[in-house]
Amino acid sequence: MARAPSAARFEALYRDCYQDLLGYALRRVERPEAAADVVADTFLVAWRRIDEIPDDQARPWLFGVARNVLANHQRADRRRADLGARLRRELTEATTIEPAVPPEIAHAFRGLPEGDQEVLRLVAWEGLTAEDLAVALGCSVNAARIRLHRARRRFAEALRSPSLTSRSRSHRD
Amino acid sequence: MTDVDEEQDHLVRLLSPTVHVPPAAQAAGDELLRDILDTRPPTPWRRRLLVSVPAVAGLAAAAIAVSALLPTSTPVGPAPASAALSFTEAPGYLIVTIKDPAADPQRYREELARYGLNIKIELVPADPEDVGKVVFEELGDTGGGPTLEPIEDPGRCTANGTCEVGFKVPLNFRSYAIVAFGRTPLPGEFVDGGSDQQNADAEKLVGKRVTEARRLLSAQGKTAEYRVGWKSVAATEAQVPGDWIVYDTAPISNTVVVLWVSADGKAPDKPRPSQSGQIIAPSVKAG
Repeated sequence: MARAPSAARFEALYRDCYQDLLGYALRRVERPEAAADVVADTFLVAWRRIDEIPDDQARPWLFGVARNVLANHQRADRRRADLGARLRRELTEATTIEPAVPPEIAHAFRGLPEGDQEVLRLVAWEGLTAEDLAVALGCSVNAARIRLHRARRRFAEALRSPSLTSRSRSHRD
Repeated sequence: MTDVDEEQDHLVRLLSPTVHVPPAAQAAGDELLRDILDTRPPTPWRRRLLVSVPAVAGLAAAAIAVSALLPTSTPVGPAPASAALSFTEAPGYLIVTIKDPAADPQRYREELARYGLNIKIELVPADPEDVGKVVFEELGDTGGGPTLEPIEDPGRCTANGTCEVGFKVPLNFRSYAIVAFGRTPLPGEFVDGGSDQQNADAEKLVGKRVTEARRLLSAQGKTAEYRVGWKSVAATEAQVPGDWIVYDTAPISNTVVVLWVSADGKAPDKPRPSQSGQIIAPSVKAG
């Protein structure tokens, strides 16, 4: 089978971002093997849309796709294809260790709206800048900055507010 | 970024789970790369569909490929009098599948418009296995609102394919969508990605010098386009030395074949940063 246009570019992108995408997915799925589907589908979309990926912001663009893929997988946890089958098998051996942090921090964070949590995670876990965040969220840089600012403000409020923390705990536990 | 922001980021970083990935996942990743490159390549037709990517990505992912509920030998011809689409109403939803992949797309649009939905159906020439299946979807920005969901036929997925044979639309869907289904090509019509024969013919040029590839193509009444370098940049015939070697090919029309060429006949590598310059996700550890 002949390789496609931009195959070399895709391969370079894949090798640069595979590890990061796998980490992104593993930190957000319940079963490690489900991360294989997220990685496979994200890169398949990237391959199909290779010419639309911004040269200097490919990594946040991939996170933007992965967010949607993840949402789709969570809506309907179904298998679509054999793509990534081996990775899925290997990842059954992967382990995820939840961090040991003071419970009030975790409760304050988990009490935030999911959108706020993801904005904060993308910045702190994935190292995205506000410009990157705009690409990943599919919005303007200004809008991304506002969302980040609001998420930070709400997190700060949650950290200061024992009552909010205990309310969110009672909802979730 | 303020110190307070930095402190917050630090707290959020503390919440990041530590993930231990088995070393074999790296090899599995290489296999996945090969599998993706073996799927149908992006084409000018697909690139024409410009979309709001983050909004479309989940849907596009759901449309990886397909398996048919419909006969693969459906002839292209005058539209029959029966309905072109099948509509099934469920609470809050409309389920749409194609009944007649040979009908005039305008009829699909009219039927969808009757439900107040701004959804355009396109039919594109496709390989037999993709006839009647969704081969591409474009979704306008829904702003987080209701969106299309794929209808799949999981029993008939192909190895690299999805199984999408239709879609489910929330009745309050207010964005727009374009859904392309595969149809049987007309005689002589170019199929997106090239026919097996065209791909096989093009493949025979791999390893040949540019002058030889040009001669062989010319004998078939075809011409070449050239791509060079790791970014696969287009080059003119005059820019490509005749003694360069073809390392990859792709038919893009019935008369044009793209040739990827390099001095040594190998795919060029991207210039890589030094090992120490690479960014490794902080909480993903091998082993």
